[in-house]
Amino acid sequence: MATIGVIDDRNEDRQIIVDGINLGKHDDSWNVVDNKPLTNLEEYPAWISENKICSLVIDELLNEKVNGGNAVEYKGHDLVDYIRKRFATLPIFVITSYSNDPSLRQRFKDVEDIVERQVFGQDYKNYAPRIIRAAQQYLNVFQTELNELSLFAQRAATGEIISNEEQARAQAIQTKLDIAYSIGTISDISVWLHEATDLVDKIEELRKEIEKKTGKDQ
Amino acid sequence: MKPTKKKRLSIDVGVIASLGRDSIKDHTTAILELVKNSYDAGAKIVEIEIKTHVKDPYIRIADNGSGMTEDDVDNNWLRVGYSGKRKDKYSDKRRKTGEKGIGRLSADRLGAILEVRSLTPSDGAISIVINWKKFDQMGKNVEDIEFDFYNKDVQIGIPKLSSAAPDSDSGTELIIRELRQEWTKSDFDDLYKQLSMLISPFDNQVDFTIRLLTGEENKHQDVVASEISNYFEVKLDATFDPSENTVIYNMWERTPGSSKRVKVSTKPIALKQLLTNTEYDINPDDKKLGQVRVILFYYPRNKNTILGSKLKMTELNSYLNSAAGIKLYRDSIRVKPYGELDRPGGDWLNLGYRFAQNPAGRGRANHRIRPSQLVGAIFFGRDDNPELSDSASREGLIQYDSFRMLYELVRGCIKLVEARSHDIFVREEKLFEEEDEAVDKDLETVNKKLGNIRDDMQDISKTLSKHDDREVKAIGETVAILVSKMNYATESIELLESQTRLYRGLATIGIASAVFGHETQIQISRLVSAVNIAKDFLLLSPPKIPSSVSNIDTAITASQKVMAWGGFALDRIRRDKRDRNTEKIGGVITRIIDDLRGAFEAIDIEIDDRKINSEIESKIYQIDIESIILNLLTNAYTACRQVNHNRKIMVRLQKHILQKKKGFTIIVSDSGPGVNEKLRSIIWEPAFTTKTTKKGASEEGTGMGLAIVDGIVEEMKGTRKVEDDAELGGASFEVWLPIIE
Repeated sequence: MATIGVIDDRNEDRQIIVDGINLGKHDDSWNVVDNKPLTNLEEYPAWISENKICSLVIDELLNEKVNGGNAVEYKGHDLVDYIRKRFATLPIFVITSYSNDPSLRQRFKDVEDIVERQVFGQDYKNYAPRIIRAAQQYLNVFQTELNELSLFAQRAATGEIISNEEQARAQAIQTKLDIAYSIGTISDISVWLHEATDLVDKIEELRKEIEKKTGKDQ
Repeated sequence: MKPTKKKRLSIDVGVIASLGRDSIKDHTTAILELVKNSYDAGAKIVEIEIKTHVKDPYIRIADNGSGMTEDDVDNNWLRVGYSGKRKDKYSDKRRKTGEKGIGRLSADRLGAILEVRSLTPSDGAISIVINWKKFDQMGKNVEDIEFDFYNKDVQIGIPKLSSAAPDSDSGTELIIRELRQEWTKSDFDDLYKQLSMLISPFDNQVDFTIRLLTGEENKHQDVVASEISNYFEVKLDATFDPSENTVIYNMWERTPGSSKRVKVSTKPIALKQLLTNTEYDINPDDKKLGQVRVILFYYPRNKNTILGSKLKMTELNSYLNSAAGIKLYRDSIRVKPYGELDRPGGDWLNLGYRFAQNPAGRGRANHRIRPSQLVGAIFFGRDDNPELSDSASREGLIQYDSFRMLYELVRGCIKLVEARSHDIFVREEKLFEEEDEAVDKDLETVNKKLGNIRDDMQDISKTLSKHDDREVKAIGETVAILVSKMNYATESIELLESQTRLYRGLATIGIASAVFGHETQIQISRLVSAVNIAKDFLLLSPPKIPSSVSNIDTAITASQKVMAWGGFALDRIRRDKRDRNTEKIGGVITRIIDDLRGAFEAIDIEIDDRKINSEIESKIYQIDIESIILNLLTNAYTACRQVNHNRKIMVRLQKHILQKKKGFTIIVSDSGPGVNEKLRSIIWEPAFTTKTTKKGASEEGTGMGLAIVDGIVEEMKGTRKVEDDAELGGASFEVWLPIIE
């Protein structure tokens, strides 16, 4: 199930955003998952991939709560910078009481919207559909591109030669979708399949040679 | 073609009035024009006498300049529009001020009759009497007007710099009668101010003196030559040498309380070293500026400035109100409006704006001087600096690169003065503290004695009121009125003290609001959102009761926090807290902590208040103790936010005897990053703040909290310090106050 992700260090406020999105969404196919800020920024790509996050809602001041351990050492705008390098088009909404924070305002072009927390609380029925719609668009593009990549992979798997243009397109999709486990480049697979086929042929010839020498064919 | 005959232009007498009487703005300006003539004549002294309360009022302007021969009178003085200054621009190293040749006509603005007396070694004393009324006969030609001339038995009064000085063999004396206008006190004040601004106060003291005798009492004032100017704290005399691209400067400082001015050892400084962090994008190696001299006098305008002198603060302020500003003198003549602080463009170095951006005290190395604290003059010559020329469209100079270079040069010199002022402040700080203590003790003694006098007077009043004698009774009543007035004065002082406390309390609330108010805003948002969501969960079909209840719980908790903050703010400034009462100090502190605990817990800061001695009692103003603890807690809150784990604050209150005095110590320590040792002496100053963002980009604090604490501690004769806290690893702020029973 496709998901909206919510990151906030204050439990009550995080729950309010989750409830608000759930109440405002018109489509039950969407799930909402929430989490305290992850300890390190590097943990986000895996969290986003595993949960199939298609839209992210974050706070600016993520480092206010120690939560029994350490408060994180980054703020919402730092997270925006990090995510943009890995997921260039993932929709990000910032819901915060610090909507005028200068560092955050500088990232206005990098996010879908910066919403004052109280405004969201009063008007979540309008904001939730916007968050879902952005997620849906992201998902649609994601699925189209994933299908395209899948086709390339299938053709490569059957040993079909992939043109240079097609290889470049496949690489671009892989990068965009941040497919970390990567099946390697499509051309690598074609070459590998051809090499494997050659190897199997050679083994077959070798087997025949051995049988001939041992007089098995006699 | 041959002309039939020649024609000539004739000039009607009315032109003279147009050029003189009608073109001069006011009678003050008219006198300035005549004084300029004296200056141009090389006079060392000019004496202005304005007698308006005599039978025959007159104005006398006399100088010891070069004087005029009969030939000069005929060919120069009586030729309107002729100026010898155009041909000879200098007299005795001075660049002459006028060039139009009509300054003499301004005498017409002052009075109807002008007698010019002049003395030269060659012609002796001569005199000519001008009756300006003759120029009122319209239709006559200028040449038709005649004047009486004398060259025998002429009496002339030439002023001398001192009675011991030898009589001058040259000079000019103008006597103006049948005055056209009354002279009021404000006219005299304006004239004094204008005269003082006309010529450089710096050069004037050695080169040119203006003596003004005015009013009925014939009050004498030597314009500009003032003792006050010597009570600077720092003086700088710098010369920019364009051949070496270097600034050579001398500096003097005066320790407050001393009349001694000490020359500070200085070394020449390369221009590019002086011009760092400039406002304009200029290259110090561009040879744009000629020789320039910069003289600056810095007066901090506080009680220490006049310490040890006979001056009053009002006199210093009055002097600075008229003299402050950095004026430009081209060939010793003022270039307006530079340095006239009450006019647009007067603060041409933008010192006011610079100070507003950084209003820190002198304890900080980068403190900024206010424009009203500097008396300065910049001297340059037209020949050395041809680019520093007049703007055609308005007052002032054209802002070429050379002007920008001049701007940065002077600002660089001001930075040298600021650095020296900071050094003096740091050096003398301890001394002042000791002196302040002595002053406080003196005030205490005076207060006690006044109290005794009041008690005695009350007794006298009672005794006298019982007396039968009517006169004695009347005296008794007078004494009673005096007692009543003293009581009223005491009440007024108490009211002022109470208001001071209120303002300090309000400022503290303001600071706390800036810090904790955001937490309240979060709670308000949470309250509004949770109520909305709870309602919508109920409206679902079927309603989601548990989710609704959970949000209602969130809303209730948030509302309690909002109400707690509102109550907290209102409670801090209650009227009774400004009265002095015996209170349990621990109770006052604990109530504040309890009120704020929620805001601290919201960002996981633990407050440990177990070590608060609940038994300590003292007669205090509750609002003062609350201001101290609230400011210290606000500081600790901000410090703890800067670390990402183990956020903890410990508040302690314990009895402590200091120098045999019973007292108590309030200690607030935190687990924040601590206070740098170098900053510990200056964090108590107003506008100083260490509360920068992690990236140091912008300041979050107001820099007033610790200054308020410092003010209260000083008033209560306590002590304060900041150290490292061994247990929590951050800072430990400690305030000791005496117990008053």
